[in-house]
Amino acid sequence: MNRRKFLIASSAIASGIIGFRLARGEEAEGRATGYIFVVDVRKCIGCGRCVRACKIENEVPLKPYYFRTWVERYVWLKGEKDLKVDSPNGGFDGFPNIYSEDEVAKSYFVPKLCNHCEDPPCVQVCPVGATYRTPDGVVLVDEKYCIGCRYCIQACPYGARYLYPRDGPRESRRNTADKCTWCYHRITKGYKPACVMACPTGARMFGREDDERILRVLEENSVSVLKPEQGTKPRVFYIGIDSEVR
Amino acid sequence: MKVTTRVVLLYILGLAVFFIARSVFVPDTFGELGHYRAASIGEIESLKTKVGENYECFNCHVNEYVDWSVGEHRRIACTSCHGLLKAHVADPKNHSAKDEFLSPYAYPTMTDFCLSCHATSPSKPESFPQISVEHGREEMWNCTRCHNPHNPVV
Ligand code: SF4
Ligand code: SF4
Repeated sequence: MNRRKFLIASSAIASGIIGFRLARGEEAEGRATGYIFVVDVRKCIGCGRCVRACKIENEVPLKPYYFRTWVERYVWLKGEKDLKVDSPNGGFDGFPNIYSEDEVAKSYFVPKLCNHCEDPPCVQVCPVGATYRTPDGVVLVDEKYCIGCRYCIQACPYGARYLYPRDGPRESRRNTADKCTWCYHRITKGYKPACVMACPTGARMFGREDDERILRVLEENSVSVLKPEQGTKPRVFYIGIDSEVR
Repeated sequence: MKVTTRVVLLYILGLAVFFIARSVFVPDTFGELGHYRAASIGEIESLKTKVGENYECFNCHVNEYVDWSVGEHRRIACTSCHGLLKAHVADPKNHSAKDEFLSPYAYPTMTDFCLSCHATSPSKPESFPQISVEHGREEMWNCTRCHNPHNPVV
């Protein structure tokens, strides 16, 4: 075999492998039916049921600072330009009322969670491929493969991730990045995420993207996403927020 | 000719080393669906759920269902006030439905629990029922003296 023939043969084999891989990739994308999460801040009362239910369902450490979902209070005071934002213990214990009716111009609660971005920066920066987007559009972390380098925690513009502490209840997850999975273990069995179940006011809604109920909600209300300028294309849509909510 | 053979042999050897190393270091199912371990999806999917569903409660608690289904609280899931239910449903004799995180037992008193939703706050939607400080004070702040939580009269 001369050099020329060898090169031709090897490049043919290589392109065959690449073509096969591409075809398989397309197949995987073909069965994607995504999910949509809608948060209606006009309904939220800041009771913190969602935060509690999430922590139980997903073995999130009960100490402060570890949250897969949390609630923030946005307050515009009369005569003041800057807004005030607080989130005592992520809203786990509810919100003690520290403002009087007369001084508040406008205020509401904003529940937050991972946006399951269509273009997730957290996935792009992972050096080992331990965080990824599933064919049905959910961003997950592989706790067996994550090396705990914290790149994704830095990269997420929404602060949705935290490092599972060394003394957390779930041993196999210790020292790995953790965040909301939209309760992937529940939604794939046909249940709603725990926070959606626990919310007494219906401020949180969840469904497949072909679910008529959820499509109607999106049609009838004007919805927005957090930090649209980041180009992450979030899949969590908000009803009733101002552009200052970020 | 001899040199070419040696180069080809070296090339093949290099490839062999690469593929052996790759099969040792890259985990099974990596790259099947993308740049990640496809088996991880199944592992996360198979985690056990802990928060139960309404129908699991109503299999036994029929009277509560009747009360709840016509009351103002009918859109609120059982778990929202009673907490973790899976263990109780699986083995009701040894596990009570009482839970320290979501139920009234997480709060100092029953009234504190009611107030965790119904306390007045300017941040809440105006249409949401919020009780004033004066309301029910003579009753020593026990809401359940007058209101049935499954079917509260407003
Ligand atoms: S919200 Fe953050 S963690 Fe979630 S997918 Fe987007 S970038 Fe990743
Ligand atoms: S459970 Fe619902 S109403 Fe309560 S804080 Fe969470 S989103 Fe808001």
